[in-house]
Amino acid sequence: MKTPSASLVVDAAVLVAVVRGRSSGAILEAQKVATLITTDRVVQEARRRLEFGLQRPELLDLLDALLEQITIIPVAALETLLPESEAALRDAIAGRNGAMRDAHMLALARAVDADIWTADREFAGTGVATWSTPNLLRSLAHAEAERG
Amino acid sequence: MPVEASKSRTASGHKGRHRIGSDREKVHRLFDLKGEQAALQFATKSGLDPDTVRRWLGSFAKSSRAAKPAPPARISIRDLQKISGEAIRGLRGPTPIKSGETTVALLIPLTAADPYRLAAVLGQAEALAKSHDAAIDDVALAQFGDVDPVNWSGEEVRKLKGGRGRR
Repeated sequence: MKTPSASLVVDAAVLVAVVRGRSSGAILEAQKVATLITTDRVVQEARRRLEFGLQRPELLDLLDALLEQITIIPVAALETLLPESEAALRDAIAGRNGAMRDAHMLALARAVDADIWTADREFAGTGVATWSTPNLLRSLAHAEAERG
Repeated sequence: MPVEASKSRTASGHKGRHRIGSDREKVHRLFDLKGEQAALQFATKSGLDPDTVRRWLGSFAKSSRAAKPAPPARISIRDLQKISGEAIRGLRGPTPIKSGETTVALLIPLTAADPYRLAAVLGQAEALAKSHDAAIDDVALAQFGDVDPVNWSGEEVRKLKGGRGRR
């Protein structure tokens, strides 16, 4: 079974799940084997979901505390990598009209050889591995069992 | 005198920090001798409260960390050629790379999470979650994409690991 990369790019849905208290066990397991990283744009998106989607601004401080444990890369630092990542996302589906809004996450994953922790399917076909939470945990459990 | 005697009993445990034979002393001793996992296993078998144990382990880890020199606020091109991966990961955050007095780049270390600080954040998140209906929040979040209905708590993860993921 494939194991996750040494770094994992975390998406907004995962960050939101963690501050909602719905993913504590998962993130504790993941950080044992991988450095958790994300982009500042993912952080913005997580804030938007908490503030305007959930309407729970009281979780923003908790998000800030969580982010102290995650490396945040500014999208500006990935600027030169964005065009190729956008092209990869666009061409990931047969119609060559795939959504490109998360090119910053793909650019980061490619820059540091990381997999992406997300339940979104838009990265399929781009050459970067993605992990849903249960599959990530299964892989970690398998690797742990192999290590004995 | 009784006060002195009591003080001496309190301070005479492991590293002079615990009462001899107390659960906390046993966990601390195991933590130092065999590491976090052994201490956690012992605590679980002893039926100790997991949140309390997490707090203890956090404080033991903090006290066991040797005082490290502060990471540099800037790195010269010359130092960059000699710096180790471990030292880079130990940087506090984005660090300027200097050529003379000119900043020519910014080095962003990929730093691992501190499990104890992370556990403290997660404890707060779980406590806040108790006063909210997760199903209502799931509906509110559905506009942004699929929402995982499972609470991947420590217990749920243990279940998945126990069954090796048949869920």
